[in-house]
Amino acid sequence: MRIQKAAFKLKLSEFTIYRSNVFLNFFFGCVPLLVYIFLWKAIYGNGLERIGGYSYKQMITYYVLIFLCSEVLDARDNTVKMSEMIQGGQIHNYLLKPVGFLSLNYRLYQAEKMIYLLNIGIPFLAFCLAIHKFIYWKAYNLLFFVISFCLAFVLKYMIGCILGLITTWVEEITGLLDLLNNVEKFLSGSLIPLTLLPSGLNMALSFFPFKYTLFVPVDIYMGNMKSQDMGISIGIQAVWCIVLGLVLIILKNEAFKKYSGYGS
Amino acid sequence: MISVNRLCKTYKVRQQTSSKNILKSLFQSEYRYVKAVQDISFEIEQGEMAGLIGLNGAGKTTTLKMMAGLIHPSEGTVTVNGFIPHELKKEFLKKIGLVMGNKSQLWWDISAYDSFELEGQIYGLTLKQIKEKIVDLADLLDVKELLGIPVRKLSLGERMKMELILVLLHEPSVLFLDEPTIGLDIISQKKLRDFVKRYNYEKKSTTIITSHNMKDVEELCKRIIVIDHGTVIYDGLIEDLKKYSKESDFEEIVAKLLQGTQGQ
Repeated sequence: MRIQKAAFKLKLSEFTIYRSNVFLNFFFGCVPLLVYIFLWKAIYGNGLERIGGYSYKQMITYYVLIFLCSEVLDARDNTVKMSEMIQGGQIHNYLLKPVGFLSLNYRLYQAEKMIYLLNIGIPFLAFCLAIHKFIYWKAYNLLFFVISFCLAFVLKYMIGCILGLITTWVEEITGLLDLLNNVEKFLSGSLIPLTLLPSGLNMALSFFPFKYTLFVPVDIYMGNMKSQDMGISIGIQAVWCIVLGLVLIILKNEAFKKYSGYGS
Repeated sequence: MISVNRLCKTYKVRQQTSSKNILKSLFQSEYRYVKAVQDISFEIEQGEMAGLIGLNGAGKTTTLKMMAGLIHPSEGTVTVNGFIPHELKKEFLKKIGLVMGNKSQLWWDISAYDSFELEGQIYGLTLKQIKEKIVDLADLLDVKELLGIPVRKLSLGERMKMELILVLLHEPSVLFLDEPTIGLDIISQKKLRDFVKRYNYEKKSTTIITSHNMKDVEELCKRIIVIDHGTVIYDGLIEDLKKYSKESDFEEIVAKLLQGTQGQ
């Protein structure tokens, strides 16, 4: 806990330097949401009440929540940093600490994300109030949403770390990272709700972890899942966390056996 | 005590492809094997300060990294205070410290003090202990006024002093210094050397220094290990080396020694 507190303090100091960048990125990230409002208005304008199980307001709320979750859960920066540290040798700084590489990295990552969430919380609420006419305010299953969101947080972190550690073998992961990002955008429900996809494809996506990183927590929040499905989805999220956690530990051990400490 | 026995390290390096073979390289990579360290053995007693010297690419840093546990040896063994370094056991990591002149361990955008706080917490120190140690060390190194300044705004000499404070916070009993005075002016070099000497004297730490600056080695160490092409070509007292040499200048003596092997 003391390390977590110090990590939080350190990341807060760091955040104050980059805060203007963070806020600008956040506000510009909101722009596509305005486009969604008009786009879906045109689609629903044809007399459709529900599409993929969502009303118009629910659809807009879906995108707003997806935006918030993907901003907070985005692990790309951590992946790139990890990859650069392996390439440049700065990973020494983590390897020789008695708390373990992944443990320290996760604490710093968690602190960074908490600070981000705390800082964009008010602007995000202000944005929601500004477009309140289009928002579906009913929050279902808040507790289950929080649980699912936390599991998604861990999942996204682990997927990012696995990719970052692959640098030990392939040296350059930018292409792989871009590929994964695009695949993930589609498979996680970031582009469209997965209920809009053919049921066979939607079913197939259940065998990949991506659906559980965005779509599942948001769908739980929207109240679209029956309580039994909710339990199953959260259970699957937990199983993915365990599986990817094991993969990550094995990969980390193998990576550092192979690591040659270039760059110095 | 550090014991290095028949230590070898071979790197597998991917070959740069010529434009002729670029298509072939997409499917089949070519590798070459570089023997960075070949059959090195030596022992260093508790409290001893020894210098590892040699030309660029001689294998000094690779040897140091194997002693610190950053990389796995290809053959042979290393033990440091009874621990096998690359196992990275917590008890081992709590007892060592590594400073690399060309790799910063400090957080670039924030003050050194914030980095020290996290570092102290990682090693289980209380806030009071951390504060006391920072003040003591900063006093000794004359950087007390600079503790609150972002690291990127410090001069190289000031930054190196901060790097030393960071590594010495947990009072390591084994200290690895890889080119600690690289790029520093003569006054800063002298201050840093005096500080390291004092730390070694007070804490009876085992210290290994690699440096191209012969003044560092001559002033700090009684014993040197000269490495060339991955093998030890001299292991003994500086005094003995001087006694049997026609030259009086230590740098000249080492240069002659290395030139001798280059000609072979």
